[in-house]
Amino acid sequence: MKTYKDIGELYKDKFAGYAPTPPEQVWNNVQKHYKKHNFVKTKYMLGAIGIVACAIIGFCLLYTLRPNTEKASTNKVFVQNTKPQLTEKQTTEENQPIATNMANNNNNISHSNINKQKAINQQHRNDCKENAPSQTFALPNTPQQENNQHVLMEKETPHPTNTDMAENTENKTNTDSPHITFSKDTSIVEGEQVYLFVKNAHNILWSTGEKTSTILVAPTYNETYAATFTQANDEDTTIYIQVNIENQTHIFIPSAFTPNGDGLNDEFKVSASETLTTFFISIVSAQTKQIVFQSNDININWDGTLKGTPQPEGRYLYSIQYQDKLGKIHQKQGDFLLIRTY
Amino acid sequence: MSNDEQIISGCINGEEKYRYMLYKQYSPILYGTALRYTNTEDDAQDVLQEAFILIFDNIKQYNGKGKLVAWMNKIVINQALKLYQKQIKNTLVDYEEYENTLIDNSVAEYDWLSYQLLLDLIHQLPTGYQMVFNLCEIEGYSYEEVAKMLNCSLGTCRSQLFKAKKKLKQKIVELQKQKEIL
Repeated sequence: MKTYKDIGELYKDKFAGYAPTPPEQVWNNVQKHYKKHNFVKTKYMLGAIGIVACAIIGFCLLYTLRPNTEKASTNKVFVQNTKPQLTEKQTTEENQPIATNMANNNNNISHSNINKQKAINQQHRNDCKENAPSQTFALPNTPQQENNQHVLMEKETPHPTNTDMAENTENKTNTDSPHITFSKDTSIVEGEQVYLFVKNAHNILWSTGEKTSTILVAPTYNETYAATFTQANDEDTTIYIQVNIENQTHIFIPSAFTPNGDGLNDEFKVSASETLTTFFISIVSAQTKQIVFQSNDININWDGTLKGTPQPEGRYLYSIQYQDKLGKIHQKQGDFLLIRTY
Repeated sequence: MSNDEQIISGCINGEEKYRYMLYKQYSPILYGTALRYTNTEDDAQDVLQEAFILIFDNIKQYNGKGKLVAWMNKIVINQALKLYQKQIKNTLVDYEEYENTLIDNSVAEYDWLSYQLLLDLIHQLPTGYQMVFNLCEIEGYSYEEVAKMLNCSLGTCRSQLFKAKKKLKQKIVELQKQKEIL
């Protein structure tokens, strides 16, 4: 066995005579390029005409269909509303799903709705560009469900004076003054920051000394933040927001495995330091681009076969998507080697 | 008129027969180059295809100095560098004074070192390292030339080459260890 002084020399030697035949397709494409060349101009013309035609048809369709969908959604959303004409303008395409959900909540509060509500809150947080979920204040006896509902109302309607909307969702509340909302207790990973807020309150004083309605905090251990503020009835109140620190989730992905049945690295095993809420892995062969393995269970590992057929040695690509305990979605991509030894 | 000259003049005249002759003769070696400079076979084929179109379109500019295959090889390399421009830029940002040059980069030619595996190993390098390693070590360009081609400093070029070699060697040693265990 020859030993090379430098790995570069080994590569140079090995690849000096390396001349694999490219697939026929390459030549076919080159040939096509030259055959096409003559037709290119006419083709571009046709293409341009096609695109313009599509655009015109698209616009026509859009304009004819649009009013219909808007009407339909309005009917759905305000099915219980006694004065539908007042709120019609407010229903834009954007808040359609949220509004639909509110109507559902009025009908019955079931378990499935809680999940939906969570989803909405999530969406909502994104809308508001704030990390912390919110709670509603000044409704001590109302269940959480309705609280959430109310927050949504406030956020979605830029003019809270529209009492019709408020009456429709919550009859018992006093709609004269805007409701005070503040961040829910939340969890973050150490090193992250989170916004905490109190909305629609006066004379806010945070335990951090800040006086703004929104503060940015980055605690290194579990911490409770207090905010004192004045309510509409001139009473001072203090609320507490707990921020918990969760462990960062680490994912271990091996760089190679050897499926030979000796009990050592026989499977491509991905592991996580914390429990994951969701997990999905997809493995693709780098050579053939064929999907060789997919799983949504971190405990089910790839054994190097596809439908029982052992796959060849070489490079494979993985794509992993997971959601950690905090509900954050992560994505990882990379490659690893399948090595065959017998 | 030598064979090459005849083919070249045929290509200049746009005759498909000669184009095919040129392709037939040189595509394997150029495909080998393309595979080294790209990360997937698909990319290599794309690069090769684009390179051949450039070769046929610009063959007039080949002045007869140097080997025809070297001229074409450079077109393939440029095409690949163009395709991976972004990745190269991203992986070549750090400049470091190059480490110990006396580092041991020796490696044995194990019988399991197949073309495919060697290719896979360079594909796993960050794109910038991969290009520097290919250009300096296999193509034999000088640091100055490579630095110019990749638009980076001499120091970056040198340090990336050492890092690339170190990584490659590490991988081979690792794999050999695994083989021994198994």
